[in-house]
Amino acid sequence: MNPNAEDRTQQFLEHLDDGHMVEADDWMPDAYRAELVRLIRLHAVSEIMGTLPEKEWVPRAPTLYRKLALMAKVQDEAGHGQLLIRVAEDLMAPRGQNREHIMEDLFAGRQKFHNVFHLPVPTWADAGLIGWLVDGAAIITQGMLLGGSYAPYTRALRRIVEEEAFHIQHGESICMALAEGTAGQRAMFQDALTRWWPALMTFFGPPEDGTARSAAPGAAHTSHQAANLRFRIRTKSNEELRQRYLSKYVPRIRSLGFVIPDPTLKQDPTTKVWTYQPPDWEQWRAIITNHGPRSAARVNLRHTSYAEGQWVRDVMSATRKAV
Amino acid sequence: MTTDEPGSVADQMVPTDQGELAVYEVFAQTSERGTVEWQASLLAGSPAMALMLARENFLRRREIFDLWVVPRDAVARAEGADELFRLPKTYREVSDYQYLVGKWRQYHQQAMTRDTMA
Repeated sequence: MNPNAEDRTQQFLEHLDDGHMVEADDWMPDAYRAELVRLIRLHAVSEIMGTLPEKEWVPRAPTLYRKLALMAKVQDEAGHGQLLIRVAEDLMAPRGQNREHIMEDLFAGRQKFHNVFHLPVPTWADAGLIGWLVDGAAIITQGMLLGGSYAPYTRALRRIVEEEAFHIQHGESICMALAEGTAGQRAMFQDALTRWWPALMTFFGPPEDGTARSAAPGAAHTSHQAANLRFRIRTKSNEELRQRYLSKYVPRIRSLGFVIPDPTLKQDPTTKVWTYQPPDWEQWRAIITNHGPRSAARVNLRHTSYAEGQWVRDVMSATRKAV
Repeated sequence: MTTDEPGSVADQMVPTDQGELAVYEVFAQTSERGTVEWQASLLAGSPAMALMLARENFLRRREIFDLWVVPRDAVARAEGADELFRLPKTYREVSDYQYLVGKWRQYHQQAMTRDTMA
């Protein structure tokens, strides 16, 4: 880095420390752009891939009301993907890249998406649990990101968070019906909770203390976290988010009489800090690098629909030709 | 508007540029007394496609009173901070005249005191 760039970076950091925002056309350090692109691509693709587990339940929803609400939710998630991909594209444009590169990377296994969307959704309770507890986790992350320094991302997030509020109520409503339902329905929800708990505990990523740092070369999750905090792209650590999540949802889950499959889970009454069984971070890494149970099937499905939709994109963007 | 009229929505659906999808900025008026405000940007092949995507992607849940899509290339923007910076001209601000409130309070007080004395 030449001295001039160093000075500019210093000025940029001071600008951030003073609480100012950054716009797409502003000068920004390469590292800031790279962290933003990485985060927003991950978010955008997670929204898009997140439609796939839920859409599996659209044809099997138990009532017409549930089917319509689930379709509306799936449509919202696709819309969030559209919003976020535009934000990412404006950042990627100086590198000569656009959404095609994001999709190509996804199909080639180079683009990550959230661990929860690599997993199977065997029952209606799993679909409800995604709406309640996965979206509940997502809104905690997104609420935190609203305080970020990159203005175009925060503008997109405001819109997204507004719609997520509907998603959580939708998920809660499904789970509440099961909780107040027959013994069979309660057992179905309990099974889903037992299945999903490890994935929920890893949703926010590894803690900052380095205990989960992989021995594998190239494992740099915590350094991204530190860089994002420094750039005020994020304002809380993974562990702070997980603690907030546990404080919000553990009492609710228990109040419905369900058992969280972690006998060590407890909150210190004075410090309010939750302790829990350390999740299997190696398994989490395997899942997000496309070695999850449904990773290949979902990426293939997305690839197929992208290929089958090519003619639509061609028609909508085709040069007018003499026929 | 029927599809036969020139300039109809169906006519606009046919892309008129060189075949590339373009970035459109989306603006909407979301309340009857409100102003038209920027909402989002999107990628489309024609203004009609941009309108359709804007409605479907961003404005499903709210009543809207007006909707504009503008190709980003058509927007003229100020160059940046230098052009946007305004010299402080406090005589343009209401806050510069706030002392009047105190003055009036003082005069009312004096008048009331006078009345009481009388």
